[in-house]
Amino acid sequence: MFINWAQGEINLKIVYYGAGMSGKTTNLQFIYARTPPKLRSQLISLKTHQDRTLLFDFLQLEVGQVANLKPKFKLYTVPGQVYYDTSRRLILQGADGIVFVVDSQIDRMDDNEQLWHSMERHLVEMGQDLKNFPLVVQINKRDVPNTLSIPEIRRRLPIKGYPTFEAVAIKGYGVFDTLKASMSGVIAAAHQAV
Amino acid sequence: MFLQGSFNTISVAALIQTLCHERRAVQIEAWRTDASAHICLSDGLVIAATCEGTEGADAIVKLMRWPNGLFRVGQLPEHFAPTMAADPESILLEAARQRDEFMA
Repeated sequence: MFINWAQGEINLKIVYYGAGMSGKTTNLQFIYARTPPKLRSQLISLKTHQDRTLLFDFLQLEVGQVANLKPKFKLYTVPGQVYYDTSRRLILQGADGIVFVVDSQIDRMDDNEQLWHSMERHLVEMGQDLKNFPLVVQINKRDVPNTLSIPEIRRRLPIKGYPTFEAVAIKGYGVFDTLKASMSGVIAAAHQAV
Repeated sequence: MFLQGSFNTISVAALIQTLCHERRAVQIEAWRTDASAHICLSDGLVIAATCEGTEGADAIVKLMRWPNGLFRVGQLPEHFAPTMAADPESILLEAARQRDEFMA
């Protein structure tokens, strides 16, 4: 969270975290495409070998104000390949909320677990209390073959207690439900902090 | 000079991000045993960067690889002529990416 008193804005950061090709970029591209241009910045895209890191910020006028400040959200994705650990840590710095995107496919569960644990490790290193951190889970790719059932995914990943949404991000299903839940959690935490 | 410290206390990325968030017009002088760096910031942008003979965005990439070092932050000299105007976030993320790929 960063308060820009001169602009009367509170800058809040939401990071889409998850394994490579889980749908983080697809989420951001959909949100970007459906946000009126006057409310959003340019989409910045940084290429990695197999993935991209995307970021853009936007004003969300529907969520109200925090201590008379306009909330301005900045959305990020992280590169999902395991070895981009420094990059993920840098992007997580100062995050006010995280959307963890789960790839539902059976053969991606190990990657999901690995990325979940790396997220936990980074948050703990940054002094965050995982129990109270605004974390939302999106279970993506519900439309593809060879997916695990929701109960099985819940058994494999420690997502119990976090708001969870099923999604088909490529078609936009669940994308804004996930984002709204994340923004609500972040705004609630900001109200407590400011 | 209004701020000084060690990169063991605050990372290069956090220092640059904080000063850019504040939209400060400042210069960061950094040094360690065998190297030095000079970064200038203004209005939320990186407007000049040198490190170990490298200039521009690559200089920040190089600085981020330092395992340690000291810094001091001071006012930007009057009539300073910018040599670049880059969004710090893109540079820092690019530096982190290069570091990860180098280490992989």
